[in-house]
Amino acid sequence: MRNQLSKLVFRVAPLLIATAVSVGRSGAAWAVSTPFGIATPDSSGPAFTGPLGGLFAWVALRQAEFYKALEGSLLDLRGSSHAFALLAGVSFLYGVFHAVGPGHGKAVITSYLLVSRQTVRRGIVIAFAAALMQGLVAIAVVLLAAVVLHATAVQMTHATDWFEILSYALVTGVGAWLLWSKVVRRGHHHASDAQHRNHIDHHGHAHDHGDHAHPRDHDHGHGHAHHHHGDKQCDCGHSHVPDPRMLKKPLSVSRAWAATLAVGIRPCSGAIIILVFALSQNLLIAGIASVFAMSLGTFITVSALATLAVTAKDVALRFVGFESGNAERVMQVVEIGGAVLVLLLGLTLLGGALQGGLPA
Amino acid sequence: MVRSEPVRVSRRSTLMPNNLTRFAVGGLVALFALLIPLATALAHPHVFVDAKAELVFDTQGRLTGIRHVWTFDPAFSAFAVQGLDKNHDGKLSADELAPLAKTNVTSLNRYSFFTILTIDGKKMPLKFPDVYFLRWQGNHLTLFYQLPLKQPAAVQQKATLEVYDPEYFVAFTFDKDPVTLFQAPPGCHAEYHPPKPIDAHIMAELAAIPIDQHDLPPALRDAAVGLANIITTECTGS
Repeated sequence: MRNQLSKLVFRVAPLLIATAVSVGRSGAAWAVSTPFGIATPDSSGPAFTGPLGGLFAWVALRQAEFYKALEGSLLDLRGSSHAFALLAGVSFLYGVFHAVGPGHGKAVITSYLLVSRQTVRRGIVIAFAAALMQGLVAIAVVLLAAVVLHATAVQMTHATDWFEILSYALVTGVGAWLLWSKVVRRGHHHASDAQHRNHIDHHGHAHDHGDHAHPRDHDHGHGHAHHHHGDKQCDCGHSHVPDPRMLKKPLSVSRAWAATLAVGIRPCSGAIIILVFALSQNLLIAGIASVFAMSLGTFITVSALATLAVTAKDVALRFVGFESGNAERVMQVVEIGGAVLVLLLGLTLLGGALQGGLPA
Repeated sequence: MVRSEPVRVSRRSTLMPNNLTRFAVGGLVALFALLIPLATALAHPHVFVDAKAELVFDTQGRLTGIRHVWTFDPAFSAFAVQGLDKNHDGKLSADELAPLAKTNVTSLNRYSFFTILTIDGKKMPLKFPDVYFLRWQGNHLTLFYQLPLKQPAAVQQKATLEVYDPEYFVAFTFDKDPVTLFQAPPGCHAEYHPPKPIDAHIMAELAAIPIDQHDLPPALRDAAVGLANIITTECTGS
């Protein structure tokens, strides 16, 4: 069954890639096209409307309000003693809402977690690292470009467009990597369905233990100790790093880094604009604080969504029943679906960003 | 460190009576898990423009062009002029701002300047701006530019000017003195109609359209008009 599946994926993959590239081409040229020629809008590519469309619209409206409030609180900073708290609060909310709307971070991180059978806890760590990195990149770009190099807005936009392309290329790479590991490697390594079911079973319980606060490296070692025999079979019952192959070579960690980097390397244009604005008002420190507050907000949203996704998958497995062959099928759909999703998202975004040629 | 052993048997025993139902419910929940990463994508304004419009008539009373005066919000203004004060005198001269003004109008061209002009029911083609410049005042940057009509046209009854970004990256407001008429024939008067309150669902559909797709599907086009700032100029003739 799995060999058939991998054949199928090999046949379908080129088609999917072609489709995604053409969607990207017919769609937006995010990196090169922006109404005033500066400040490329944040976008997460193909949009999802439907039942949640109204909610997202509401989020966009709120976000516009927070952005205006953010601007105002920066201007008020010297006049009022409460302004700093206000600025931090508004920035935080802006981050929360920003992560719900645009920003491909949540899509990449949640899919990555689903596909790699990661725990909620690992997801929270990744979400935190990605959000922090996103803030740091924005700060580094503004410090280097505006303070050191006295670059213009056009030059800064080109620079961030490059980060954007890099980010989308990484998303594509992570997607391809995940798909490869799910389809090809899995096909080679699986001994029997029984073994696999066993694994699924354990995975389903992983989250019951997710709340225990043991350090990550301990975890890691634990995984090692129990997984080196029999590939997927494990009798420990509380594997937090459920894909043992990835532990033999530390792929799990490098893939987590790749996913973090893919999300974190692209600074949000809102953060860049606010930082430059703060700089122009001689309020750079306040601007930096505001960006960190935004990152915290983004982190909260993404980790909440990641928790929701992983929990939903586990609930799904409970319904299906861990010992039935159906659990295997559901897992395959979720994992291969998630991997394809990341790959398509990456290709679509990359196609869109490269549509009008490379930035100068 | 406390770790409990998995308790799976009790969980699966009573919840669902048969495998098919379980599979169906489980499958649905799994789909929901996949929808979380998918749920996405709204552009949202990073640019707030306080706009004014002027309709320019020639001596024969024909409409020849539209003058836009767009003042940007302080953050976008600060970002836009970053690094442009080449001589570091703390002022932004017309020369220093000229390259940015050119970038602005060139880029806006791809968005048809967010401007639609209809005269007596006919959509009027517009040319690339013949005049454009930026000015810095207080902490605001203002873009001035003039869009000429391809052919000057007399307004028999009604000219309608719509200004909006259907994808909501640029938020336009017309607050003070939204519209003026320059050399208009007697009997013409202009009126400003603010956008209707945004219907969240329609906005979601609009925002789902990629930012540089300018031809809206017909079904959405009518809805999008609700977002527009509309300036009507009615002439009774003389």
